[in-house]
Amino acid sequence: MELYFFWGAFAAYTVAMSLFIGYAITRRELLAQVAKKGLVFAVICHGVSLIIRTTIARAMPQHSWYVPWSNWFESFSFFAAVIVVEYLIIQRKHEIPILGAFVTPLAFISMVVAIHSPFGTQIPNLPPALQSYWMAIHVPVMFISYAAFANAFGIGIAYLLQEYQIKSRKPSHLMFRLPALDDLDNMIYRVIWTAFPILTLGVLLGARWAYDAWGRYWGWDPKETWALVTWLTYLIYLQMRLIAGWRGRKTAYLSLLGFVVVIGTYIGVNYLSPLHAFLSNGGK
Amino acid sequence: MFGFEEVLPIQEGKTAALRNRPTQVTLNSFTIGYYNSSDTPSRYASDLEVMEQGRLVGKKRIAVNDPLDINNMRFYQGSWGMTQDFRSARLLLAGREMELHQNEAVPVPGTPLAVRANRFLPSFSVDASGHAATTDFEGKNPALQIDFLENGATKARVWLLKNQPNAAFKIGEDGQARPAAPPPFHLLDVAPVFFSEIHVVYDPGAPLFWMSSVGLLIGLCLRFYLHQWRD
Repeated sequence: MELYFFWGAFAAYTVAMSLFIGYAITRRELLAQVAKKGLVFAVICHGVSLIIRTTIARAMPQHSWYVPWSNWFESFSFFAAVIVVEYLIIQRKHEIPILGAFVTPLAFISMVVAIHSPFGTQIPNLPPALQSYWMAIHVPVMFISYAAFANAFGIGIAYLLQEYQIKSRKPSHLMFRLPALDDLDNMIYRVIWTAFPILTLGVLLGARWAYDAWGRYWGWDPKETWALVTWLTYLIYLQMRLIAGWRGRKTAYLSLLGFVVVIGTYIGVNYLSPLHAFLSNGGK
Repeated sequence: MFGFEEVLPIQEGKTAALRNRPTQVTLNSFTIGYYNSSDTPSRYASDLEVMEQGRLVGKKRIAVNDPLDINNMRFYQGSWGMTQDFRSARLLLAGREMELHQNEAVPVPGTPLAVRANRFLPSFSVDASGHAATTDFEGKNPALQIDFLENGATKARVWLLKNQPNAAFKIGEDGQARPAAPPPFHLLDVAPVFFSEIHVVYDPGAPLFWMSSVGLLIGLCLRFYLHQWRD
């Protein structure tokens, strides 16, 4: 049942992304208006699918703490939803629909990765370590920060594209759609500026969970180490921008690098981390 | 600093002592549940009693994410495993179910034979030297070593595999386990004796750590946000 809503959400994400790209190419306002409404519809469908899935799972034995981000499929699906929700919040504040053409593809890719989960779409068997209320606290906090960094990444791409257009002798009409470089730079900064304390809180909550589960705050597990690398990358970004006065291309590149580290932490390290292997073994 | 961490592997029914404190930990029982038709544990828990100077100071059934707190010490559920001992086993022999206990000879009705189960292996395999061994302690391929006795003398010694009723390994005089013909008897079930790893952590600096963490968070916000506010 919940998969119908999931597929509805996926279809709506796909249509919205296509409309945003169409808007970037054709400059037809109607496309952007429909795309925004499509995204809202997709998020509602996605939310309903997550609620139904949670309700079904919690009726199963040993799933009283179940939350719908416990394995590969659920995690990427949830990540896509959070990226889009945060984009809608940014959009509500700044009203720059063209950014949708840079951010919605990230949500789309996340949905595609979820769909192609090597462990299927079924509700996973939760290992004892994941049967904790911390799963409902630590993980969403991390996702909120990761999704914000995904948005910063999308805006960073827009920044570099705009810079290229401005320097180009024959700029396309995309240049007139995209905001000024300073505005984009400030937007990246504000998104990272907001997400960084959330990431810090997420890491500390993870330490607290580790203390309750294993009696230690920090074990230099690959996932933990790479979470620290992510944190340091964005700390450097903020430090360089605020203290060293970096602006523009250098900070845009740093924001892109930060998101690459996030992806490495989120996906790659699961294959190295025995404690955070729930993505790579499907919660089996 | 000023704290300690110890790992106590304790067999069910046994007691272990901490090195750093006059504390004894008894594992009364260990329970484990599995998800349907899989070898994935759904939950495992240790029923603990903690004594200090002959006095019971704590008792709890601990599980992952649910430790026991006593006098600034925390007792965590670590890993677990099956020992090579067992409480009881059920054998299907000549159409009858028989219950066996470790090292206890049980006559086979209607025959001059008796059977005795000596040893249990959680995950049976044959090692490079040809001897029976276990690859891990999680019970993925449980096996029981059975002696067939006649007038008290061992006539044959075989390994029966619970998950492969048509396979058996006969132990030769050299002690090596060799595949034998499918036996007319099966191992139906076995109740192993578990061990549980209890992590004991005494960390008097924990409140300081958490206060520092909150301080770090507040400091970062002040550092970056006040800067922004001043702008």
